[in-house]
Amino acid sequence: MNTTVRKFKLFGPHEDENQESWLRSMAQQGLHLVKVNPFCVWTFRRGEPDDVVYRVDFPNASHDPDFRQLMEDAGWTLAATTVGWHYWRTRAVNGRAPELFTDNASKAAKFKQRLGVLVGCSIPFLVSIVVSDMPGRLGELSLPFLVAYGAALCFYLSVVPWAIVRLALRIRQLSSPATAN
Amino acid sequence: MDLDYSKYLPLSEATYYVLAALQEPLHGYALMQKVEAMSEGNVVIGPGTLYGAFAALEKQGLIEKVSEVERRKIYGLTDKGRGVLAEQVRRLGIMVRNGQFALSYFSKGEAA
Repeated sequence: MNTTVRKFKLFGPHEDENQESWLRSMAQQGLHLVKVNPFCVWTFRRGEPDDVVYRVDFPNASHDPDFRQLMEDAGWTLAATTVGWHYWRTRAVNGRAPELFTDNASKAAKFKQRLGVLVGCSIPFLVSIVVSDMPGRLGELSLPFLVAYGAALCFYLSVVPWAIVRLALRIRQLSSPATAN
Repeated sequence: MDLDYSKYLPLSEATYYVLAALQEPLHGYALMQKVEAMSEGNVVIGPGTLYGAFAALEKQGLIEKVSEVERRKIYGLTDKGRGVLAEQVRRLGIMVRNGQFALSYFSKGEAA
C-alpha cells in the first residue's frame, strides 16, 4: 500500500477553519500531514487513524523562538510550513480541540495582519504593470510570455480583490460590538 | 502616579486575567494554566492570543521581562500594570454591585 498520499486542495486566505477541519478529518482517516507546498499540494503519510487537531498560523509568530517554546510547552508540534504558513498540530483530548486564538480581538488581529501582508505583496506587482507600461507593449511580446502574463494578471485582478474582500468581511464580523471581547 | 487610565481600560477578559495572574512572575505556559485554573475554566487563553497580549502589554509598559529560565521568558507586573489592574478592579466592583442590585430588584418583583 502506498504510504504517501498527495492531494490538491485550494483554500482562501480567510478559510482557516475549513483548512483545520479538513486536516483533522484526514487525520481521522489515518492521513497525517507531512508537507504542503505553495501550489496547495498537500502530502500525507498513511498511518493509524487519530484525532489530531490542526491550527493555522500566518503571519503571526511561528518564526519567533519564544512563541515556538510556548507552543511546545502547550503540547503543539509543527507539522508543516510553506511560504510563512505554519500548520501546528496536537492530539485532541476527550474531543477537546484547543485553539491558538481564543478571543475575537486576537482573531481579528490575525486576519488584519494577513490582510496587510496580502496588500503589501500585491502592490509591487500592480506598480510594475503601471511603471513598465505593459499593456501598451503587449504587441512586442512572444505568445508564451503573453499567456503567462495574462494568466498572472487575471489572477491578480480577480483572486486578490476577492481575497481582500473576504478577509475584510471576516475582520468586520469579528470586530462587531456584539461579538467584541 | 498619575495615569490616563482611559488609554488602557476596559481590559479584555483575557488581558485582565493575564495581569491578575502575574501577581507572581510567570512564563507563558504556566500563565495559561494558571488563568484556566483561577477562572474556574471560564477563561482559556490560547498561545496565539497570549503571545499577542504579552507583546501589547510589554509595549504599553504594564508588564516586563524579569528573567529567563531554560529559554523561557518570565514576565512580571510593573508598577504601572498594578495601577491599571487596581483601577480596573475598582470599576468592576462598581459594575458588579450595580448588576447585583438590578438582579435582586427582578427577583423581588417575581416574589411579589
